[in-house]
Amino acid sequence: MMVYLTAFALIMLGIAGMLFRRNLLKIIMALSVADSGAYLLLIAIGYRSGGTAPILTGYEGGPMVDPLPQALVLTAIVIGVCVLIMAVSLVVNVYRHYGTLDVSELRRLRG
Amino acid sequence: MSHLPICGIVVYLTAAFLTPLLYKAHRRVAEGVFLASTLSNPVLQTLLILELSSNSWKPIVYTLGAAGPYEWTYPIRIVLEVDALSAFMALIVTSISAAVALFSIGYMEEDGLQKYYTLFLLLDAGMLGMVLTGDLFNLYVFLEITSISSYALVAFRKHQWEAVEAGMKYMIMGSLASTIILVSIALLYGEYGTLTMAQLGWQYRHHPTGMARVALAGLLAGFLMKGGIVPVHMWLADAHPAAPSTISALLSGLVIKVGIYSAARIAYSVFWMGTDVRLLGWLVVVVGAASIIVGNLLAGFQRDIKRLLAYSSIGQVGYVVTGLGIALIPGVNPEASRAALDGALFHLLNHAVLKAMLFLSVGAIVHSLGTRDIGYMGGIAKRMPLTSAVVLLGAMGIIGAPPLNGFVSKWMLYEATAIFNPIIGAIAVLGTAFSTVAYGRLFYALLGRESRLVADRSPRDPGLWMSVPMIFLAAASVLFGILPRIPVVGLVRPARAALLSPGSYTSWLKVAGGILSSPNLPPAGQPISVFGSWVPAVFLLVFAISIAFFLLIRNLSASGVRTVGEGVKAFLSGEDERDFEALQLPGTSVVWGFAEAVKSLVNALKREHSGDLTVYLFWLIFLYAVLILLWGGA
Amino acid sequence: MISVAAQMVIQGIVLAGIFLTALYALLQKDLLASALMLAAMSLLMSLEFYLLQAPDVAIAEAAVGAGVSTLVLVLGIRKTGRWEE
Repeated sequence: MMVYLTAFALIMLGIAGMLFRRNLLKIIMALSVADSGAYLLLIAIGYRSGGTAPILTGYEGGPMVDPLPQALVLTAIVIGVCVLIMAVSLVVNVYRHYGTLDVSELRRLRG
Repeated sequence: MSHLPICGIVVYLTAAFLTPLLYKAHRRVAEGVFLASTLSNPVLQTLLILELSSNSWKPIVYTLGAAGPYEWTYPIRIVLEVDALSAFMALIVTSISAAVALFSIGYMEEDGLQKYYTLFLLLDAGMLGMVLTGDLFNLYVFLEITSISSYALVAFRKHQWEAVEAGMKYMIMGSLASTIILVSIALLYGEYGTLTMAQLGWQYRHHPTGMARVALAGLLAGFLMKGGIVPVHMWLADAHPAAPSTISALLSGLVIKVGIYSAARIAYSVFWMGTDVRLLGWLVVVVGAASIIVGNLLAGFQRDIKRLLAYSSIGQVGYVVTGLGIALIPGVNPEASRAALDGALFHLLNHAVLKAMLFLSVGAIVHSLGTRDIGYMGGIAKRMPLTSAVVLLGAMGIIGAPPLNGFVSKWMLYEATAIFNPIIGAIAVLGTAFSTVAYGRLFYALLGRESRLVADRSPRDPGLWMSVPMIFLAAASVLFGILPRIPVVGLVRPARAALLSPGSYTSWLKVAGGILSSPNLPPAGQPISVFGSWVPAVFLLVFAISIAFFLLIRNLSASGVRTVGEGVKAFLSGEDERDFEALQLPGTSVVWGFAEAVKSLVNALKREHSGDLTVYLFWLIFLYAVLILLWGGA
Repeated sequence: MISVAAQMVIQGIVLAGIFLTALYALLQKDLLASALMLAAMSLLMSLEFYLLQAPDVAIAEAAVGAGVSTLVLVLGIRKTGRWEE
């Protein structure tokens, strides 16, 4: 239960950070916080209380936690870091052209 | 088991990683691999369609990895599920990309092609995977492949501030949408313990829960954002013009369609049969109608030709979404709902062809002139006759002029919307009126007096590499217009039938021994003609509402006469206006009068497109919240 | 084997730590400090993954979240500016 609450709190925190922070790097950090919340949610969904890690080597019986969400989270982590690297490289380019990272300055395209 | 479904994706991915290696050896070899992979893929998808149709359109299920050990009772493997709709989308994706790939050989000469090929092929692989997959998380992975490569391609010319700003906004909005989608997928997994879409659909049909509805709200919000639907469309008008024109053709022609496809697939195949989706259908119709108005209206007020096309994409995708929404609502006249889906899917195909053709030909013009301002394109039709002819043909197609394909699909949608609700019908007609204004300016500009820039640059029609794809797309557009039965009967109707029978989508599941029966299968439906029924009373009502709109606009328009000013520059080929002082425009003039009439609305809309990323993000969260509150909570 | 109550307490501490570091990272005006806070959050997150019996994810999160992401963010901050506003 605590884990679910934390996961949702992280997602909300991330979204709120994206909406209320003006610095582009901060927005990207907020995005990665929201992503972490999603990972935590997935892992929590896969957790069975009393279960052991889903590793067959040296397996001694008893319940295991669901391995599928863990595979999903591994994939999602890799995707997340790809997005982060792309975003930071774009931010550096934004800084080169605009001299600032404030989103309210980033408004040449409109209408 | 035939390995056809996975072949296309494998071809794209292999080529994506081969091209940079071969590029080091020799450029022509890399180009050859690039072309071979993109041109062979439509053939593969055609074979897939043939295989499907020879088996009376029964979905093909392809399992990645072993099919055992639990048979189908515990579906944890990734599956590709190809039904008529997936195959239809796959054919569109691969064919349009083949045309664009051919064009880009000539077009992208100066830029760093090495990265371009890889990103292009990754984008294709992502889109193809999205339409073929039968697994929700796999859909997410392919969505991210598509998205990341399209962010990179939008910001491809990173020495231009425009590309960087547009790419940044697109990326942040897209990533938030992806996160929402990921969270929704997690919720669905927690609820049902499976991610195979067919299994999810079956589970939801038998145990619908509130949490699953919340998940659907998130998936829809995310995919509508990827599809560029009002109110989460703002990134589109920035991102599509900023990309190189070949990429704009892919983004406008395919990427947004694939987003819409995913939303439709999830809404129809997974959630449709479980609960009453009336409210959801109405929400979709409303956002679709809003897209028609906003997109087409703002297209008429752009001076940047690619921005005009981008806004027009929003409007045209609005038609598709409206059609999909109508068919989602239960209890609508079945004739209308079938016509709406047929129209929506056929319009999706037509718009992909037309927009790809427009962006490619406009790209050739922009490339040779070095400007995107319509005002400076005067008289280019004389210098680039072939390209201009293709542009104008595409414009007529999008407006929906009779001999072309746009007319057929729009006519189906007019009929369906009119029977569904006369007000929505009138909005559909109004959208066409707006887009006529937008594209009418292109006719003035291209056929008008020769501008100084055109005279200086003396542009020429592009070479063979670039002409062939344009001619191919134009020919497709004319062919689908004159003989609409070929695509409609051959592709669109099976795709529509696949959407309308979610039972067949899940029919391959084996649950506890036997094959699942498919409950609630809607009646198979009589075949209807391409042109639906004619109901005089309804159409009279639509005409009355349209005329009321017309009178309203005419009443609002300025009275009297105006001497020409800044506003008409576009129609005078960017010339100085001193020579034209004598020229005067009456208040009833279509262009000026119309512009005056809708000025307040346009200005309000333009204020909303403030360029502020925070506001755009707020709209996304707002859409998500509305979907959760209205649909998830019910 | 630790008792259930002890495990609850440890989890509570870790989860509270995750939330607080995330909050602090987003409120902080110094971008470098927030990047480091995010790294701390990732480390705590990987500890939490370990507690939830997902050791493979924990390794990935520690390497990618705390390592690569932080490196990239710090490089980005060096090329732009350290302070918000």
